[in-house]
Amino acid sequence: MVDTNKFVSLINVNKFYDNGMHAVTDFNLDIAKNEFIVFVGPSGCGKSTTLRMIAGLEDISGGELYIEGKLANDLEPVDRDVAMVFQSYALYPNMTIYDNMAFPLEMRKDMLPLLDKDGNPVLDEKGEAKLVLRKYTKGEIDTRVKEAAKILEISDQLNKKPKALSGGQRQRVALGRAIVRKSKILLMDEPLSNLDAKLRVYMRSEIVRLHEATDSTTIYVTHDQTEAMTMASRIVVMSKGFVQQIGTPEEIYRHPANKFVASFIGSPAMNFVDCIMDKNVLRFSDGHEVTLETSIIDWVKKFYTEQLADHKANEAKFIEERRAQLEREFKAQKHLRKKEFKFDETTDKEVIKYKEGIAKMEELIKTHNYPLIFGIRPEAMKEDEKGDEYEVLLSELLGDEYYVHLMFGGKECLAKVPAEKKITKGTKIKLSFSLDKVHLFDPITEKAIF
Amino acid sequence: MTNSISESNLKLFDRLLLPFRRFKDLFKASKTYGKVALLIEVILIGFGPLALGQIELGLLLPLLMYALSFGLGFIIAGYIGGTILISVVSFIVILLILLAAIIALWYFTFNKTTTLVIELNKGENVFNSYIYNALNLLVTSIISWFKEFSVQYKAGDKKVKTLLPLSFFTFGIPLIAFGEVIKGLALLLAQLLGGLYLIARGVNDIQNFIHLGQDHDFEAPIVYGVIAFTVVGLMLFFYIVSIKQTLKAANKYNTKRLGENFKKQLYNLVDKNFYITSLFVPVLGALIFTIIPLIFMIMLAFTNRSNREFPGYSTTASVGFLEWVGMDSFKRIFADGANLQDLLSVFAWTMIWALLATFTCFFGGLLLAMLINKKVIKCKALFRSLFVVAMAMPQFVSLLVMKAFFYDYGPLQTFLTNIGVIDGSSPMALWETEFTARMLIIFINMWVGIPYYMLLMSGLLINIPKGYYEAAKISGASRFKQFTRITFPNIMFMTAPMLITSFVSNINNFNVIWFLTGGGPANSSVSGSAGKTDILITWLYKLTMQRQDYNFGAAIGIIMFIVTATLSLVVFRNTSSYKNEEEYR
Amino acid sequence: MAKTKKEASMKRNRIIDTIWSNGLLIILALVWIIPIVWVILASFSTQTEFMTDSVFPKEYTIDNYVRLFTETDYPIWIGNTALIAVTNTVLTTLFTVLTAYALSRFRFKMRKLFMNITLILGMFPGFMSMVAVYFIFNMMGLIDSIWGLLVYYVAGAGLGFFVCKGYFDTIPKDIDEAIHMDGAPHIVAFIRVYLPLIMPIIIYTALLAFMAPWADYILAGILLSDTNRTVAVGLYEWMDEYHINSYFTLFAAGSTLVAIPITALYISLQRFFVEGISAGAVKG
Repeated sequence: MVDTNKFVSLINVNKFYDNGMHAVTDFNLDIAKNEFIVFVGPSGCGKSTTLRMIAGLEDISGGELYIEGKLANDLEPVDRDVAMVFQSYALYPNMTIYDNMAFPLEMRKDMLPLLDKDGNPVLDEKGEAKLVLRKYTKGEIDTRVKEAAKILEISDQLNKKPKALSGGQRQRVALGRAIVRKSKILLMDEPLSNLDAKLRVYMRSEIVRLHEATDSTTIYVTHDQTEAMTMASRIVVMSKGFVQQIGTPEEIYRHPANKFVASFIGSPAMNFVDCIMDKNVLRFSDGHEVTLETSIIDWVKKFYTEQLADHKANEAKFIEERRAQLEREFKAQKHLRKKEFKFDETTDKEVIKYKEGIAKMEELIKTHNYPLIFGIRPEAMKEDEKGDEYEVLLSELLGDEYYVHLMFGGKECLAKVPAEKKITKGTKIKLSFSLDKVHLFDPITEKAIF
Repeated sequence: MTNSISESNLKLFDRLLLPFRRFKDLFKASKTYGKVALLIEVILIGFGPLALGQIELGLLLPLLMYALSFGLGFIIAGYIGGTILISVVSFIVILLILLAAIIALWYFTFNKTTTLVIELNKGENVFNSYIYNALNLLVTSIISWFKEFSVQYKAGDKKVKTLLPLSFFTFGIPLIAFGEVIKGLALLLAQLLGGLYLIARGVNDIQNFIHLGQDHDFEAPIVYGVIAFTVVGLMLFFYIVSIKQTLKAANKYNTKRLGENFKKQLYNLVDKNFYITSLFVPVLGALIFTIIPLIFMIMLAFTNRSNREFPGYSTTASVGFLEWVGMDSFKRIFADGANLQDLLSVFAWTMIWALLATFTCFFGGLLLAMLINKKVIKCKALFRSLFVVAMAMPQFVSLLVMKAFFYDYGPLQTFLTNIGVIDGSSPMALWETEFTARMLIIFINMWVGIPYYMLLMSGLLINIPKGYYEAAKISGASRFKQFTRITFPNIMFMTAPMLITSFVSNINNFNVIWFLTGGGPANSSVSGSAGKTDILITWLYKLTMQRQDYNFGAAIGIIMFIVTATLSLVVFRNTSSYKNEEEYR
Repeated sequence: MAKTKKEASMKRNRIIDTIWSNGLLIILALVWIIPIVWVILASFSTQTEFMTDSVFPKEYTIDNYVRLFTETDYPIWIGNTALIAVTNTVLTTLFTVLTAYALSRFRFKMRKLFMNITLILGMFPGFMSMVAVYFIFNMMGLIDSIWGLLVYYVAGAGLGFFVCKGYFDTIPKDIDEAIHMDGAPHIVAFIRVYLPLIMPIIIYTALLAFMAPWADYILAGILLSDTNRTVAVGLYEWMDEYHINSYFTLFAAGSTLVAIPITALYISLQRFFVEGISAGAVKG
């Protein structure tokens, strides 16, 4: 019996390209049935590549992919029961919309009820239809296409060709083509990027509704964090081929695992200010101080001790992996293949950084002097009569609220303030924030301490 | 856009001069070896690359350069001394072309030397020999195969241990046993057919090919020999493929990965492996009807196959049997003065012709397209269609018609007589005079070729954004300026490669010359075989089909190939579409 | 109607421009058309000699056309050439397009090698392989058979993939992937999606393939005998110095007949032809 919590499983999936580039590193994820998973991250982070590996359009260089409990690495896309929506829609230009949507059904065989000569399903003793692997009949195709067209509200476009449709309509056809097969897994590769902003907002909810109506498991790729936050049941944040964090939108928003996730998710982005933690006080460059609860200090100490131990233990491994990666890239370049690969760990930038990191951490623990990165979201700064006063450097009106630029801790930061009164440059406002909305990051590894 | 094009031209010029400007600094910055190499390049011109370890290139380039220089000297001496009788024009053209080639070669060696010294200074190893690399590749490949073989053998069970050694002797049977039925069957078939052919006649044919000595059916041993060698080559290829595939199959079997069943393999022939199905017939066709014939002709050049007799040379006509004569056919080019003159004159005219033909049609078409495109012309489509009619007529018909048009007592002469311009009693002899014949050829080629370019240019002119012209008009640019700064650069940008392709194909333009003049008028002054309007390819035709001087013809063909190949390669290397085809994907 | 001096002179310039532009164009058009008109008229001439007193015929008759079919081998030539042309169109287009598709859509080890070899083969004077082919055909017994010609044409089909491939290359990879995801094998993709998209270029290729046998003099001359000719070889002979005086009007008639359908095809498919040339030129 298939473990529905592991409807789709990726175990240590890696992707190497011929030019040596390591596009996806150690991707691990279990996807439960009916989840709406979003891979989000900047361009080049590996999200599309991972999606394509799940689809079967790219080979999996290392690791395993399981779909419904079966090892799927070597399966053709057709055999994986996945359907895909492409960023450019990839509609067949010379066919009508009807034919575009009928095409997937014409091409495959599925377990369908056995039909007798008159087209009626043959029933067994229990009164249930017997399933056989066969092609779809014209009638069945017709029903399915019309069904999908109705859900997507394009029933009156069926006789037109793609070039006669608008961008939004074409996108629906692409969706229609994907759902017509009623496949268990739906893959979407940035389907909304080519639409204008308003349409995008509208389609976001449409896609989620579609996901629920078709009872599918959806894996969705986007670079837009708003889409990720509003649509996902769980988000996978990626950067440079590595998974940064996996969690529900709330988890990711409230407890980002590192500085990257914190800055990527949430708009406008979180404010980051350097500070130094001295005993239980955070001191900023302009003298401003924030007092902490003692518990945070212990937490920080513990964090660094663990990190140091971890780094020391993995130092050799890190160097070896770095060497292997450089060698891979070197060997991949044809004109250098004849030459010798040289690796000097004393001059390699990454290795030096790693070692410096260890040294810094040792230093920190000795001196109890921790330089940290203080993070606070603009929306966490609230107007408070008892708060500190700030002078507004610039204010941007968004209708119902202002983005206010001000100096905090010696750095220009952003605060979101409701637009109850007019705020302009030079206005003085009083803001405060609660300590549980404060995030602290380690400047060496950029991981979140708190 | 206009600025960037003139800017890029400037950059090109700067780039060309770069090696020379760098030289002094480079010399100072180099270590001993580099300094020595640079000096060698300056003193022993052309041998720089060789000194730096470029074996084949380093030998070939200076050799070529010196050979051409020697040839140039020889021609100049012959011309001035009166032993080489060619026209002034031919002489100048040959001079220019040879000088250009020599300078280009020298520039190339110089550039290469400086580039290599820079790399040398960085500590890189600059040795490069294609033969060495090929041998190295061969040896390392064989070693890696053996390594892989032992890996799979050790990891395998009894089945693998019996099948793997078998793969050295038979193609295909181990593959079938491993489940790759289609690949296995195909390779097995190849082995059987090839093997049978070789045993039945192939080995014999190769022996005949090496010794020749036929006294009849002269072509047979050469053709069969080439075929036999091709079969051997193919067998070798399939042998390598079969070993590689067997190792791969063994690996799959050993790691217990899914194989594909027979049905799936058949399916793959129209899916993943559809390219094999698609390319099978075309590749076979190209091999049999293009590649093998070509090799045959090349071989022919080194035999004595000729139905004419030449004192001092062996020909099948004079000695009665076929034999290898090495470079004799090529020697005949230089030894016999008439031949050399023929070659030089024909080569010169070929170049002049190709240049004129290409440029007159290109610019004529462009100007005509611009004329029709003007706002003041109504019925554009009608005019275009009229010109298209001229192009649509089958080329040989229009050529023959135009030839007749200018015949003695033909319609032109009749017309001119009737309006009293000339006296109709004596023939105009337009086709009998060298100069007028050549002029007519160019002119008639324009008649045939301009409509084609006109259509092309019409399509391209539309693609130039009107905005440029409007901006130019506002700043008061004259029409001429608009042409030189907007139209011309844009068109050139889009069609520069085509211009060069056109040039190369005009060098091989048999039809126009043949149908109009048959290569004539005949060269009566010296007893050569070439006519006054012959280009290389028509001369080749005459030599082969009419004079039946087969080996000489083949030799000329080879020379032609070298010329056109060099030109084309230089162009295609830099053609953007060839380099950037990946961008479309 | 009093306009400014500038407008008046601009209008005058415009009139001058119109006159000389149109005039020049008409003259050029005449230059291009006159030889064609001459031949067509000559085909109806009563005088069979080439050397006549007047440029255009004085008396007209359709006698020449009749003689073409009753007294000469012309019908045989037309038949041969038409047969080859039609078969060539089908087969050559098929193989050229298949080759282009394979090279564009697949990546396999020998691919670049194949393209490079094709390039190099194209640099040989085409004539060289023809002589060898004569010898080979002689041994295969294909001399004096029009099928021999056909075999040669079709065998070379794979080498002319360049323009077709350029066109295929412009189709985005996405479509391939969508087809792959939909479960269709490449051959289905080829027939149902690619061929319709490439129609203009296919028509261009087919047009060229159709036209080639009508114009081929060299190979047809080598391979075929006197009785089994194609049109190009036959008509050529009528125009040489021995025959021209008696055969000229026959030649005119024969040429006109051949030219009509081909020209008609050309003009009606002009659009595809232009697309093909531009594609070939711009894409290099």
